[in-house]
Parts: sequence; C-alpha cells; structure tokens
Amino acid sequence: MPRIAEDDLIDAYRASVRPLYAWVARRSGGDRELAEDVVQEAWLRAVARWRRRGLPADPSAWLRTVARNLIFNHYRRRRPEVLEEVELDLEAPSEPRTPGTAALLHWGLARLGRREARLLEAFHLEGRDTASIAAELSVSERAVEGRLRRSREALRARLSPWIRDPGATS
Amino acid sequence: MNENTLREDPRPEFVEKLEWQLRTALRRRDRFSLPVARGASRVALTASLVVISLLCGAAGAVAAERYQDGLQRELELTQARYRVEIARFSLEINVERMERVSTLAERGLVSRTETHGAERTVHDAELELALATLDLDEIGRAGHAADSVDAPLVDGKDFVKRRGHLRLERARATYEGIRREHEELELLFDAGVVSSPELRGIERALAEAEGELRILEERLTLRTRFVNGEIDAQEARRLEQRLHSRRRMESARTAYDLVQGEVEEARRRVAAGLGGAQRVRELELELLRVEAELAIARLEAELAEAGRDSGR
Repeated sequence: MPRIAEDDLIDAYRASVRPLYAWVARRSGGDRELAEDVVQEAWLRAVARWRRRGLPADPSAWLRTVARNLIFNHYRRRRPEVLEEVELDLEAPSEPRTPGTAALLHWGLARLGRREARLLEAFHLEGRDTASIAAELSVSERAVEGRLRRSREALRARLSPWIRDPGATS
Repeated sequence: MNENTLREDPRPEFVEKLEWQLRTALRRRDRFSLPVARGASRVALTASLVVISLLCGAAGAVAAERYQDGLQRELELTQARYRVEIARFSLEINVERMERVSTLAERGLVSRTETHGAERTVHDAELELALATLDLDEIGRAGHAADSVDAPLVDGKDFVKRRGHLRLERARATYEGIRREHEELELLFDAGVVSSPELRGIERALAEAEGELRILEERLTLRTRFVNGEIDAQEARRLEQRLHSRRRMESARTAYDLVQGEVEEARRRVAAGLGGAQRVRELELELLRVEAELAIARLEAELAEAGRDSGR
C-alpha cells in the first residue's frame, strides 16, 4: 500500500486549498456554504483515495475534477428556485455573478448532451477562447463557433422561462 | 481588496478545521497499522516457546501444553479486545460519515438513498460493537465464546440468547430495508422503469431476509426451551439442525420458483421475436443449478428428520 506522509499531504492541502476554494466559489456564483461543502468533500475523498493509491501526479487537477462533479451533482438534483428573471448573456464568456445564476446555468448544462455541456462549460465557466477549445478538440475554430452556437440555442431553450438574455435574437 | 476577492477567499477557521480533519483521518490509518506487526512478532514468540518446551521431554510437553492453553486464551482475548476496539472506532467513523451525509443531503449534494445507506451502516456498526462486547465478556469469564444452541450459561448469563436477540434486531432492520426497496421497485416496475429480472431479484432478497428472520426467531425459542430444561442438549442440536435444513430447502425453493418464472418469460419473449435464444439457454442452466440445490436440500431435510426419529 503506498503510504502518504502527513507532511506531504498537508503541504499539498495548504498549496491548493485556497485556489480550489476560489475556483469553486467562482463557479457557484459566490455561494460560500456550497463552496465549503464541496471543498471539504473533495478533500476527504482525496485522503481516502490517496492513502490507497498515493498522491496523483497533479493533485490540484484531481481535486478540481472531483469538485466539478460534486458541483454538477448538487445542481442536477435541484430545480432552480428563481423568483425573478436573471440576466444571463449567453453570447459572452463570463462566470456566474450570483448563486442564483450559477444554479440556473449548471441546471441547464446538466440537461444538455455531454458534448454540448462540455463546450459551453469551457467557454462560459472556464473563460476559454474558441482557439484553445479548437486546439483541444482538434477541429477548426469555425467548427467550434458553429457547435457553440447550436449548444447555446439548446441551453437558451432550456433556460428561457427564467432568463433575460441580451444576446437572444427574438 | 474588492468584493470578489473577499468572496473567493475561504474563512480561516474553515481552512484550519479541514486541515485538522485531514490530519486526524491520516493518523487513524497509522494507528491501525501497529497491531499487525505486534501480532506477527507474538506469533513468532509463541512458536519458538512451544518448540523449546517440546524439546524438554515429557515434563516439558505438559508445561508446553499449559503454556499453549494460556496463550490460546490470551490469543482469543486479544482478538476479542481488538474486535471491540475496531468496532467502536468503526462506529465512530460511521457516525461522522452519517452526519456529513446528512448535512450534504440537506444541501441536495447527495441522494436520500445515500442518507438511508449511511444510517443503516451506523446501525450495523452499533450491533457489531454490541456483539463484539458480548464475546469479549464471555471470553473473559469462560475462556472462549460458545454460540451453539446447547451451550451452558456462563456465570448465570445466557450469552447465546443475548447474541440471538442482537442478530434478530439486525435481521429485522435488513428485512425492513429490503421491504421498502421492494415497494419502491414495484412502483417503478409498474411505471415501466425497471425490468422484471430486477424485480425478481429483490423478491428473492426479500424472501431470503424473511427466512433469515424466521430462523433466528425459532432458534431463540429453541434456546429458551433448552435453558428451561424442556429439551436436552442432544434434542436441541437435532432440532437446530432441522431448522437449518428447512431453511436451506425454503431458500432453494424460492430460488427455483424465481428462475423458473424468468425462464418462462424469456421463452415467451423469444416466441414473440423480442429476445435471443442464448438468454433462454443461460437461464435453463441456472434453473438446473437451483433444481440440484433444491433436490439436495430436500434430501438433507429428510435425513435430519430420519436422524431425529431414530434418536427417539
């Protein structure tokens, strides 16, 4: 059984807890309670797994992946409780500004196809430009733009009862 | 520092508390790596002492035998003590986990099924601790733990009955859990969400749990009859054997009925052009296996009955 030294784990923790927390907080529109739950759960899972398998090559990336799945699981199971229309510009890459916007965006993404959701997630939540997404997918930028447009339409249709979308054509 | 930076920075007390949790989780692992090494060296020590005693002739052999008895008792006590310690610690961890899962459930991060699962695990851990504590108590008094239906009382205490009640409690909880799951699956089956093999699987599990519950209740009655002097030790053992044989037969019959139902349904599907013949063949093989189990269980039950009659 690969052993992890307490000091190594705590070093990894201290180095990554703040960036991970900030990453979760940005994705959740600043929902502190959710950010704490997700970071805590991700780290407890990390200890359980790393004590069996040892530290992964990139602990921060591992934690972000677990945190991402936890966030999606959280929003997938909840219906968005939106009392007022939310302004959400689906054309522009931007992180959600409020917990309500984050909930709505994730809820909508969770109801799209995996490829569509991943594309919109990279563009909207990770702030990546079309060139870097095209490089990752080994397709042209034009193809990414086309897919993004179709994915946005699908998301817009899902979220239409709750959003005021400045980018909407109608 | 703007509002956004503040929002993205974790509370210092949260960071400290989580660090403490992680340290605790790691130290628990280290704590449990110790007994293995100590146990191994103890076995080596015991082996070498026994070898030395045997080399000292007849007197040495007697001494070695006594020494071995002492070590055997110590071995059982050590095992029981560690079992209690592990059970207590396991309960502690499971309670912590249940609390965490409950908090996450309130936030919608985990499903209700996971919450129920965590609660069941805590209940199991509580019962395991109670059983381990009983064993330790009995070993401390009698040198070993005896669980046969005709075991004597120890210092006036009926350890067999106490264990029986704890197991019955566990079996009841298991049965209730499966019964709830069965009800949910029946609804889903009616709605076309789950298939009939899935429903049959849970029906089998339910029948097994019910059978287990019944045998534990009957075994407790048997124990009471023995302790009250209504039946002697030999009769108690025979009746217990009969109970187990009947249980095996019921279990095999349930399995047979369920697999037979699956075979018939698979044949209907093939006839309607909805399924492959390979699946039918696989199920027929399974049916043959459970048929064999049923036939053997029947003969064993008859054998147990015959033994009882000839013993009268």
